[in-house]
Amino acid sequence: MKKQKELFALLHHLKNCPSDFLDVKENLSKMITKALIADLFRKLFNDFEDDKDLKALLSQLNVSENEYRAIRVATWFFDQPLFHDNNLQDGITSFLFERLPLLSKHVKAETWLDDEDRTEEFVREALRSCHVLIDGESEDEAQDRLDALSTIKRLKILEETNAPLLRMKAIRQAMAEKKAREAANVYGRE
Amino acid sequence: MDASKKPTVALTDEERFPLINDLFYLKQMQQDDTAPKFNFQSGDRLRSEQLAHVKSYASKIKTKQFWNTDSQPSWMSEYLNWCTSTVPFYTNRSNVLTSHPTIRRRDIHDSPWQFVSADCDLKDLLVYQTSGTTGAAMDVVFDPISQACWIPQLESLLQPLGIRLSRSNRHVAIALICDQQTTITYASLSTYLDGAGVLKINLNPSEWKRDDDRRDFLEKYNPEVLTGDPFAFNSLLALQPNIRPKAMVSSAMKLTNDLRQKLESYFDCPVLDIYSLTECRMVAVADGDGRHRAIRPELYFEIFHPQEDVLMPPGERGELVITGGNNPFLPLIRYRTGDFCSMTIDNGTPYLVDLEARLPIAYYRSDGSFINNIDISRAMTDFPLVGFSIHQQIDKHVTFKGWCSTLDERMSEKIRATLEDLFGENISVKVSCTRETPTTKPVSFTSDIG
Repeated sequence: MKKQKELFALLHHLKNCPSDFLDVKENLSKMITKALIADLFRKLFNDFEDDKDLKALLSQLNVSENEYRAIRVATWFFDQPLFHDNNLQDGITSFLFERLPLLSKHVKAETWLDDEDRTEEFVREALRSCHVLIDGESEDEAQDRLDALSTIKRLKILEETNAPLLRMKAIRQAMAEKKAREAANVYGRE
Repeated sequence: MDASKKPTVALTDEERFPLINDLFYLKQMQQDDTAPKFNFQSGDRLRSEQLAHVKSYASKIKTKQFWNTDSQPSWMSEYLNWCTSTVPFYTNRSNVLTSHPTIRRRDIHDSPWQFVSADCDLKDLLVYQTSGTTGAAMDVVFDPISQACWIPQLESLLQPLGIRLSRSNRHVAIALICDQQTTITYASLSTYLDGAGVLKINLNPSEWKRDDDRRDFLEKYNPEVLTGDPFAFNSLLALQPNIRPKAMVSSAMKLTNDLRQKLESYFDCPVLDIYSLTECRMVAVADGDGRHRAIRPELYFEIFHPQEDVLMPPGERGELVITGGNNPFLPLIRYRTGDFCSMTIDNGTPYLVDLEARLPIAYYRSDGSFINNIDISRAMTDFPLVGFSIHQQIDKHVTFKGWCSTLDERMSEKIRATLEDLFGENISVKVSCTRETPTTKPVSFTSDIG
């Protein structure tokens, strides 16, 4: 089968993630997530059995329910011929165990499938972790597009915009509180 | 002071004076048989690291290193960099002073929080509402350090006269004398002066248990330095207390030569007339010949055209504009003071020439008793006025004009009732309110009575 790097196909594949990947009983969530990762690695990289690093990562995996759900979506996403490449193992590992848990602190797992922008962000983040470019795109173009979609960057901008507002609110509140109290200081004032 | 505006006593003595263990003298002043009916408590709240800052400021201010014609102070560049990088109001502005527009009282009045540096810890925020003698009342924010630096500023005025404030916890170093209808009064201590007493008293007899107590209390505590406005000093003179202050410092309004001579003669001490602003405290001291000498090296003066953002040629008269200060909660860059003068620099010391600050205007009731214009300003803070002018005719009748953003007939009526309360019987009060922009100073006091 031809390795598909066409964006629409990748988005389509992700969106077709079966709901079973999300709807897992919480008490089974961790176990099933680990099993899906192990299964994915067995399919993509045949020498999984000897991968001590992955085994260590799996044994230490302890994240929130939302992160387990997102990781299971990712195991669905990576399960396609494009990623049958031993050179991509580090990238996929990094996405599953580092980048996706970070993003999942701000994005609900189902949003990766329901929201067009988040779906594209997921695909682009996964590809960037694997250093894979979409057909016809340069590295700069890929980065620009990801920057435009990035949840982390968006939050950072919001935070930067909100910080002065929050500070202003805090000062106003402190002024109001202290004006009414002895802190409305008159020491040394005629 | 309106009860609703009066801050409530909410701290413990330990919070007021974290570094003073012996509060005996404080209690003695508060509980003295002749003491006024103190209505408030106040402390400098200095912690050890803050006290160190105040002491460091005291050393710096003594250097008297100002600037020369055609140059700026050495601290300017660092100060502008700090302002533009940490103070929201100045963010994205230039690091070069000449590129900055002037700012007005209105800018601070509308959004004081925009002037608070990101470096400030809001736990240290203190608020003071101005009396509004030169403009609409406003909130000025500051911290315990900039607040306590008032005393080193005072010391730097006294130093050239060979006067030093004593350090001991068994004497009163400073008494702030008022004569107002109502004002906050307290007995306090100064951590910077090793626990010396600081008093704020109101000479209005209604604030004392017995009339004679005013004189007895002052004589018993015999403050080293008295500060106050000319009205308060005039009342003090009439009281004829047997006290020997080392100096008297008049502020808030211009001190007339006549009153100064009377004070110097009776109290046998130098009487200093200082120019100060609520926004940055003491600025300059009258030095004779119509000149005021700069006292704080961290304040930079410029003279601007009154209506346009144009710097006046050297030596020409215009509006005094100030940059600098030591308050991180209100750093000033090109702040228009609303006061007018020209400037000259002699031997590296700047002088404000023919400073036209606030003249003392007395208003009278029909029985001849006077009203301090600060009482009028305070009463007007209850109304949403942008500014106002008040004039008393020779027959004592009063005309008041208020500027406000929305006209409200009921407000005019309430202002009239408030002024009638202040002026008492047999004085007619005419009040009008308008939405026009004030053409003169935002607050103007005038009188035909000498």
